[in-house]
Amino acid sequence: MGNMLTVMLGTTAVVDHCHPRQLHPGGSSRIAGHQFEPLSILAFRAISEHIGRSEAFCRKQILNGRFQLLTILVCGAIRSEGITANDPFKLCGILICGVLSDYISHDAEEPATDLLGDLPEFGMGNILNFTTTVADHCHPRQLRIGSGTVSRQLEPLSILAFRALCKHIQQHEAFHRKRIANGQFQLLSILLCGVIHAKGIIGNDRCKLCCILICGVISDYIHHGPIDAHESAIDLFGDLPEGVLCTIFSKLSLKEAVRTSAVSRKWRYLWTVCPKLSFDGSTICGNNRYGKQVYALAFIRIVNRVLAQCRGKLFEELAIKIDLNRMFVEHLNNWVRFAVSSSAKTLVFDLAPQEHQLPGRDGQYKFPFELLDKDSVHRLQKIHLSFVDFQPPMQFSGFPNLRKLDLNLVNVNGKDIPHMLSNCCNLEWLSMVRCHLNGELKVNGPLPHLLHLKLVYCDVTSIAFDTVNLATFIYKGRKVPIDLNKSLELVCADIWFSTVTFERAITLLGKVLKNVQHLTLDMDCKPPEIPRLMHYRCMFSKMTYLQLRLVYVEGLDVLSLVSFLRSAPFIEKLELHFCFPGYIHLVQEPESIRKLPECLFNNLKSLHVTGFKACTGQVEFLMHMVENAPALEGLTIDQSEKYLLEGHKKDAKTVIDLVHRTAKKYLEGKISPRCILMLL
Amino acid sequence: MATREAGKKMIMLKSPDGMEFEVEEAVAMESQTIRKMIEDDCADTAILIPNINSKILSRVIEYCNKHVPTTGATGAAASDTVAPAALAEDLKIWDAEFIKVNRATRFDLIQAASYLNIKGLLDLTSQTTIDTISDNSLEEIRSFLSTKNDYLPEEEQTIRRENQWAFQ
Repeated sequence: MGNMLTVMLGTTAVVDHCHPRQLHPGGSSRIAGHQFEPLSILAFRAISEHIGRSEAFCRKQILNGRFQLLTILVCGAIRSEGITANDPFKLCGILICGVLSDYISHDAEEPATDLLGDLPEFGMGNILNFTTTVADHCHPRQLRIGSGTVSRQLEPLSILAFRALCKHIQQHEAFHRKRIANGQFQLLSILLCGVIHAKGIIGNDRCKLCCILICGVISDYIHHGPIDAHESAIDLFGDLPEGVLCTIFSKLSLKEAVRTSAVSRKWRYLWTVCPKLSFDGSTICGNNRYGKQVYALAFIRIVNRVLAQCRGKLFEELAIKIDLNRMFVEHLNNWVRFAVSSSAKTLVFDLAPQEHQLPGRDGQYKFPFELLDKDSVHRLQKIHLSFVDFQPPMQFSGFPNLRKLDLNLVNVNGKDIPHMLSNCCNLEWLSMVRCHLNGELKVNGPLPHLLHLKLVYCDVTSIAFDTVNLATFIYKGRKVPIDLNKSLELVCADIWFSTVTFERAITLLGKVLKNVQHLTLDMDCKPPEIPRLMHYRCMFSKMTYLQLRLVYVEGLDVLSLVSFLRSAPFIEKLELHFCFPGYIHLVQEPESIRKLPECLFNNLKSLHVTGFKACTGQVEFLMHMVENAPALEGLTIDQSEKYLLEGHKKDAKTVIDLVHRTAKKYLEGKISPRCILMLL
Repeated sequence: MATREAGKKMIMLKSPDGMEFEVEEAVAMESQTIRKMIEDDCADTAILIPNINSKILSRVIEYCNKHVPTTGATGAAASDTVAPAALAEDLKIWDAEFIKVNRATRFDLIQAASYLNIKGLLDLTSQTTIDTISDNSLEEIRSFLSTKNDYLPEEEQTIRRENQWAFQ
């Protein structure tokens, strides 16, 4: 078989041999003993056709006639493409090649082909046995012995590849029964060899030719994709490990993921590896054109259908976002049951109505604690509830692995919640917005992992947490006693107090936020309440960044803010945002500019003022800061208001030019050349 | 083999086709899988990276070299004069260039990133797939994935009806 002609002759012989008429079960006799699957016949025909058509065997390597070369080719292809447990076809290809290679190089009359010849009679269940037999057969020791006894030496590379493969098969049980059943082609290849053997091709050369043919086809397949368009292609994407599929699907919306079910059969349920099931009424039902009832019904139907397709699978997260409707209650309970049975770690029920006015709190969905079994209570890591009645049963011992709890517009009981929180010892993130506790929030149990605490409009009378690692604290509401004494790591705070004087707020915060570095303070202060030039001690010795939002009222003495700033002498960045509810006097000549005694902010590098209207107080403050901040590098003065008060329209009539001119006039010569001034 | 060279610890990575790559430990530790091996002291000799051929492995190493934190002990391509934002922008352009490979290579890279657990590379390589699935018609998705539609027309209709909302 040293030349192409021989090979082509061989091909023709095989093709003739396998003429459909002959292969037909009821037809010619020589194969009558074996009943072949029609599929394998079809495949064989397809391969033969392919060989004839695409001249697959015209390659140089094959012309050289060295079977080992072919094996090496296949092995090489497999090695370079990588062998994965997902890819039994390649494994099978190399198995066959290996067996045949062994046969040929042993130059034996019978040996390895017997294995193949018996194959068609094997049940599917014997495939694994076959694998083992082959693996045994190709034990490195045997191969070495074998190659020593025959004239032709197996190429070291193919031995190596084969050995690696055997090990791989044993380790990964790559020949999982189901996979083979699914991937017809592998089976077919095995059957094919059986066919050739059974047909009793006489003479070594012919047999070798057939082997070469098969190997060639397989090699071709591996290198160049499918032989037949209907044969499932090497679906690169489908071959990815499930973990990667999960990653990819988790970044798609549920809608995009579900849509892939129509790609092909293989993709039918692939999307269910998606770890998150997130149903958002506005995206899955589209616009609400048909009224609330129809909308709710459509939503329920979609969720139920999708969940039905996912039954029995595991999910990380179940999220429902829809305006609550009375019809939902029973379904919501079912969805909680689904979350429990699918081992979800995250549960999101966002049921707050979209309307602007806050609804009454009656008719909230009552969270079904009774549906959570012990396992799911332990499993839950994130809970996000909105517009839900959340009443833990008596003696509820908390969610021991809960990391994040986000409650919005949730009806809670001031007594149960602190008790429950005390027992959520792994909590890292807690947010409660508009959950009226109407009492104190005193959490006794230590929460050493809590990093983020947000309490907004919760009507608490006092706050006490034992959190040594708390880093961020956000509070909006009345000024109440706050005990975060153990939170020495607290560096970021965002505070808004209603109806309190500036001085009292500062005094309180000075005690609570001893180590704060970044502070955002929202104040609604009345004129007499910033005490003039009062001296504050250095209370915020670690503060480097301060953002102040001030509602400017007539008579507010902005200059007196300087005395507050003295409590944070090492500040590096200052942002000052003024909001104006009413008419403001621009600075007018010849008004005298007051000066305060020197008080240096040596670290101040950046000063940003918005809502700058050049009124007297603002100009005085600005002048003082510029003169007392020798390291200032950036000064931004913005006449527009960054934060607007609710209900107030933006005052469009500010004379921008005048403001800029005034600012420039006063700052001229005061700013160091290193400082960049921006007037907006 | 873990050797010392100019104060930097080197790690030897071997691909199954026999190629060996010597990389700095910090670079190799961009892979969480290798990091774990190193931390568990399983990296005395060369680390064999199964399933990733030398061509892909060298690409992966190229990526890790570029993305190793510049503040680390390596000090590789770090330049103190470049602002972090500019550096990030630079990296983005580099990434875009890096991912200009054929589809098969990209899938190989996805698999490699997954096996070696390199989050940035996995995000980068799988983004195209994610974008394709989110933005394109089914036919375009099929051609991208080189998958044939093997549904009978009536089957496809049933599937579309079952999840009608997703096809609107």
